[in-house]
Amino acid sequence: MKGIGIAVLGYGRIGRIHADNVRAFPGAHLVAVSDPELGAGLQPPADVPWSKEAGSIIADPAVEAVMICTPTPTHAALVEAAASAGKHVFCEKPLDLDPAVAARTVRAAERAGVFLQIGFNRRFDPSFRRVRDAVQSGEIGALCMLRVVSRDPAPPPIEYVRSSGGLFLDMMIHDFDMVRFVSGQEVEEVQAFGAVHIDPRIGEAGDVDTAVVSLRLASGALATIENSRRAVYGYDQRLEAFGVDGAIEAGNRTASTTWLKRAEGVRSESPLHFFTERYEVAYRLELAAFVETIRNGSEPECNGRDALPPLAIAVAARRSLESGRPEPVLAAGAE
Amino acid sequence: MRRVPLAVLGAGRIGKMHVEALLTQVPEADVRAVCDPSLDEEWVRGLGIERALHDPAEVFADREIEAVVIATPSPLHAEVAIAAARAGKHIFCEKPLTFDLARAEEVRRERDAAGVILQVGFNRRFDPDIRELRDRVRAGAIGQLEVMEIVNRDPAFPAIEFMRTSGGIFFDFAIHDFDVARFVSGREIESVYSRGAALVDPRIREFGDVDSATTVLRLTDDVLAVIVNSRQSNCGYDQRVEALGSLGMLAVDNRRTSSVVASHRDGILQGKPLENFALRYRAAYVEELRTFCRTVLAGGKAEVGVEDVMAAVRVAIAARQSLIENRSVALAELEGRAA
Repeated sequence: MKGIGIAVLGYGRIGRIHADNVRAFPGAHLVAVSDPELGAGLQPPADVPWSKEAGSIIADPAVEAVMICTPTPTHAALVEAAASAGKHVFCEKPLDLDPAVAARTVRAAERAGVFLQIGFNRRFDPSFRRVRDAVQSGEIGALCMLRVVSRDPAPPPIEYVRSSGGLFLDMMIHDFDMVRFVSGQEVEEVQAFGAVHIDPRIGEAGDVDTAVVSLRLASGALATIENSRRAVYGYDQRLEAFGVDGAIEAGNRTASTTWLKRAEGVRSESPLHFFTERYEVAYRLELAAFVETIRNGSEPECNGRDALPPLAIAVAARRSLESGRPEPVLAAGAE
Repeated sequence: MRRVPLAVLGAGRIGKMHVEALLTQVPEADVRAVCDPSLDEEWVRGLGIERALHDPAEVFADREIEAVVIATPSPLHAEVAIAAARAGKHIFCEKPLTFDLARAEEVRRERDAAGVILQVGFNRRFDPDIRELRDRVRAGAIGQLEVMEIVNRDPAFPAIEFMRTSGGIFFDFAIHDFDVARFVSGREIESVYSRGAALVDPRIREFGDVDSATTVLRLTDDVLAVIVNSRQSNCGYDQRVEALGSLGMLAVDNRRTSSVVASHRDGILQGKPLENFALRYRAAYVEELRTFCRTVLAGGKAEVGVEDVMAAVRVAIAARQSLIENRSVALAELEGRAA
């Protein structure tokens, strides 16, 4: 009944989502949580021990695995600390903003012989998974094109933007992963375009809030990704795969399936507001996959090696935005 | 009500479509003649049209005919348009008119010298859905325009012989999307980045064409547009436009063959998008001709003119260059190639 003992490091928004899922998951139990803000800005949990620092929790023998949900700059050190203590690791994306650091961290986990799963939650969304299955089973024939639209409902606070690593590393990295996941192919080259439409302070911070990237995949197939930090109607998450024999599209999810019909028109509900709602199922399924991995000793579906290409693509996209030219995606370490 | 006495030049697929639309759905038109070197005269007489002609010169010599609808093979468009202008006829010309900017400039000069109206067949501008999208964008319904997504996929691969002489995917096909981007946004295209691949039929590589293409446009005010094109879409003629702005999004979806939804054990099936351009843009083909006739009757400037062709052709030239050189091409680089 107790199952795998899991500690959650970082108890902010995403940490609490994972902690709640662990609490509710029959194959695992929550051992402890850590966050420097606990007892200060953050309400400590009432049901499990907590600490302001991660070290003692990682060392706890009851902890078999950790889920790292801290700010990105702390990811790499925590992964290495947990791995060297022999704990399996689930780490939120991105592993690190620097592909070389990320690669080193992946190697450290591999040397320690622990599993490292990356929190590319969208891979566990049933709709995107269905698109992947259709592409890779040949249901739509040879893949010609992917078109990804991914828009946030509102931009994050400007302080967050300043430390986020920029739109490509913070936001579009999910879409880069989706392109790899759905196509089963590597991205070879990117050309990025950006604009500041939403908040001039984002531009002053050297970032963009609206972006389009054109990609070429290994087979010669093409892809486009469009990101906006603001779609006032909600979290807009769509993906379309087009092949020689057909196409498959994943649309948005809504809170209910109703249509309200009145004199002024027919109204359906807006997309679920943001990622916590839209990917609720995906967060549960990625935890289930992580627990399965530990239980069966099988390599995670989305392991450390999968953390690196999206970073490399994001770095190439950023370089392209600056150079104005198409840029090759270089393997981590070649940067 | 006064009607415009006109002649249709060219009675191929599009020409016949225009004749039938003019007769049945354009009350502003009075079709006096149809002209084609290999004309089916019986067909013309069966429609009750006075004159079945073989030589455009006969049309130009007819003083009563005020306007012509040019639906000849594409390579003849400009030549016929110039002859029509010199004969003082108002002109509706199918797209593309010409892919050659110098030639387009020549048509423009002839039009201005003759003082005739010349409207070009960018039919999508007259599609009720696309027009409503544009009207709402222009009225500020989505606030400041930020991004557009345009999907344009043909249902079936054109004949390889056609492809060889079509001018390529950007001139023959994506040119509609370049025009839609300008039309909907009310902005000019500043730079173009195109990728392409021959993923459906590798034979088209022989003449440097592609069957799948993605284009990113940057327009005035930093508006970005994504255009995706495919020459073969098994799931139908896929025609979608989407505009995102600060206050929301507007989208035009496909029109389906029917609204029947069939739910069975193996899933839920509904009609595919209308199969081809003639069906999807049926209303647009009528509306563009009505607009032309009304402009002729009321006087004034054509709603879509040679200038719009030149703008779209410039984008196609830039797209082609972008594909070859794998770089973003600024329209400003093409300055000086206009005339």
